[in-house]
Amino acid sequence: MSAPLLDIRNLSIGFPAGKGEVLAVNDVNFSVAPRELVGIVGESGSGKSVTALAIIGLLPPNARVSGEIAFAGRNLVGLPQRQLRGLRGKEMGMIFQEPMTSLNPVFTVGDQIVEAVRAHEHMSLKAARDRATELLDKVGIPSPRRRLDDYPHQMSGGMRQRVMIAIALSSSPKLLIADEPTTALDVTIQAQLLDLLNGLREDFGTAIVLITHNMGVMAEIADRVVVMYCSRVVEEAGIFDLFDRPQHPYTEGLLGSTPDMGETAHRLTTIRGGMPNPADLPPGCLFAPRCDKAIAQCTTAQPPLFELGDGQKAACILAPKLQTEGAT
Amino acid sequence: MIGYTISRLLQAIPILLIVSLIAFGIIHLIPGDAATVIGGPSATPADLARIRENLGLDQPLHIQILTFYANLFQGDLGRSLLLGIPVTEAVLARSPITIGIAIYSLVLTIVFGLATGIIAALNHNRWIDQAATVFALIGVSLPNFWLALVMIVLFSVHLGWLPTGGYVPFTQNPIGWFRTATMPAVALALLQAGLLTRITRSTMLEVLSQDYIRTARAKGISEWRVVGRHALANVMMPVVTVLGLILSVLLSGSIVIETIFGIPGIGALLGNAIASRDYPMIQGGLFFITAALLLLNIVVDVLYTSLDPRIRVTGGK
Ligand SMILES: Nc1ncnc2c1ncn2[C@@H]1O[C@H](COP(=O)(O)OP(=O)(O)OP(=O)(O)O)[C@@H](O)[C@H]1O
Ligand SMILES: [Mg+2]
Repeated sequence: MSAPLLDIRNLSIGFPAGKGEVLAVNDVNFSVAPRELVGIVGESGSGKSVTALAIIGLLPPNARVSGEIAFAGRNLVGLPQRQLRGLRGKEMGMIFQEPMTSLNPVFTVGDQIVEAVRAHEHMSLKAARDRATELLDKVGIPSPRRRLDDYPHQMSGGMRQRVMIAIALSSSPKLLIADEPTTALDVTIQAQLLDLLNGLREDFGTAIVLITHNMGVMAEIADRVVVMYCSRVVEEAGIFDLFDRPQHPYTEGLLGSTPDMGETAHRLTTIRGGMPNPADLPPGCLFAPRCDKAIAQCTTAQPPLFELGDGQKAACILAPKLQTEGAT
Repeated sequence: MIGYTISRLLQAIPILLIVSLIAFGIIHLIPGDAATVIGGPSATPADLARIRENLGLDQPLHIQILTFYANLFQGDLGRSLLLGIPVTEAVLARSPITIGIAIYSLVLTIVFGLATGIIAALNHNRWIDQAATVFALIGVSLPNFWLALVMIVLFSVHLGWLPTGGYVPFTQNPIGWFRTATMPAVALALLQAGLLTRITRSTMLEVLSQDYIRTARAKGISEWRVVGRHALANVMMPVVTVLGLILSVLLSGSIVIETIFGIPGIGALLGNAIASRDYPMIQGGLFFITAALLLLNIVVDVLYTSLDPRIRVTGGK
C-alpha cells in the first residue's frame, strides 16, 4: 500500500463545558490513501463533523486539539492559521450538509467559484471565469456559462450542492471532505451526486472522506469505512468485510437498521436506547448499556481497538474474529 | 424596480395628506392663536376678530383644511404670518443648513456605528465587545439635548475650543462651518450611533455563524476577505433598513439641537413658528419634513431591494 495521504493518530478534540471539558473526539486513528474513498458512519453526535472540521482546520477557536493529523506527511495540528489557509481550498476542499445555506446569498455562483479559483492562483478574471465554467460543466450543470450569473436562490438544492463541489474542486485538491453531502437532498439527486463524487476520483485523483448516516451509500461507493460511536472509533474495515463480517455489535446494529441496500435509512431504529451523555460516561465499553451481547467484563474496562487482520479493527472483546483467533 | 419605485411614490401621497390632517388637528389644539401673537397684548377683541378674518381663521376648521389642500395641489403652501414670505421660500432657504448638518451627522453615525459594531462582533465577549456595548447603551439612553449642553460647557465654556453656537455657511468658510456644525452633528449622531452599533453587532454575530461564512473560510481566503466581503455584504442589508429610522430620528432631533446651538435651519424655523403660532409655517414646515422623510424612506427601500438579489429578481414585495 502507498503512503497514506491523510494519517490521523490519537486525535482528541475537547470543548470547554462548565468547569471541565467534554471530548467530542477521543483518541481517533485512521488513515486515507491517495484516491481512496473512506466513509465515516455513526449516529448523530458521535464526532464525525468535528473530526472533519479538524482536518480542514475550521474548528471553532475554543476547541482543544491533541494528537496528530498528518496530511501529505505534514502535521496540521498546531499549525498557524496562515499555513492552514494555504492548504484549504488548494490541497483540500470541503462540502457541507446544507446546500441551501452554504452559498453566500448576495453573490452570484460565478463570483463564488471565481473567488475560489483565484484564492490560490494568480489568474485573470477572464481566465478564472473560463475555469469556473469548466468546473460547472464538470459537475454536471447544463449551460454552465449562463448559470455563472445566477444567484444561489435561483438554483435547486442539488444544483447548489454541485456548485459547492465545483468550489471544492476549484484547485484540484488531493483530498475532498464531504460531510453528509446528500442528506438534505432527495433520493434521485443523491444518487447522481454520489456518481459525480465517485467519478471525480478518477478524473482528479482526489481522495474522499465521506461522512454519511446511510449504509446503503457506503456500500455503493466506499472503499473502507470507519464506524464512530460516542467520540471513538469502534470499528474500521474494508467495505466487504464490514458488510459480510461486522465485528462490533454497534456496526451490526447499523447494518440491521438499513432496510434494504441502496435505500435510505436515516434513522437507526433497531439499536435501543441512546448514546450516553458525553459529560457522564459509563466505565468500560461505551456501547455496553445498549448492547444485547454485553457480559459483565464489558462494563469494567474500555476495550482497545483490536487488530483483526485484513485491515479490519474493532473495539469489542467479543469480536467473532477475536474468538476464532483465540481458539486456534 | 422602476415599477416598484413608482408605486411607492404613489403610496406616499395619501400618507402625506393624512399626516397634514393630523398636523392640522394638533396645531389647533395648541392654546392661543396667531391673532393674539400678531395683535400683541394691547389688541382689543375687535382687532383680534379683524386679524382672524384676514387670516381666514374665522372659517370652520373643515373649510380651513380644505383650503389648505386646494392650495397645496397648486403648489402653494401659503405665507408665513411672521416672516411675510411664502412658506416654500422660507423652507427652501433654510433646508441646506439642516441637510448639511444631517449629512455630517449621518456620516459620523455610519462610520462610528458600523465600525464599533463590527469590531465588537469580531471580539465577541472580550473587553472591547463589552466596552462597545456600554457605549451603545449610553448612546441610546442619553438625551441629545443634555449631551449638547454638556459639550457646550466642556468644549466652549471651559476649553474654549469651539463657539457656543451660531452658524457659518460652508461656502463662506469651510473651517468655520466645521467649528459650528461639529457639536450639533455629534449631539445628533450619538443616539443613532448607539442604535447602529447594536444592530451591526448583533447582525454581524449572526452572519458570522452562517454556513456560507464557513464555506468562504474553506476556500482558504484571508479572514479580512471573509469579514470584509462575505460577512459585510450580508450585514449591510439590515443596516440599510434602519437607515430610514435613523434619518427620522435625526431630523426630529434637529429641532431641539438647532434651537440650542442657534442654528437657523428648518428645525429652528419650525421651533419659532410653533412659539408664535405661525400656522401656515408650522403646517408647511411639517409638510416638507414629512415629504422629505417619506422620500428618504423610499430611497432606502429601493436601495435595499437592489442590495438583496433575492428581492431584486422577484421584483420587490
Ligand atoms: N463548537 C462546539 N462546542 C461544543 N461542543 C461541540 C461543538 N461542536 C460540536 N460539539 C459537540 O461535539 C459532539 C460531536 O459533534 P459532531 O457535530 O461531530 O457530531 P456528528 O457526528 O457530526 O453528528 P451529526 O450526525 O448530527 O452531524 C457533539 O456532542 C456536539 O455537541
Ligand atoms: Mg455532523
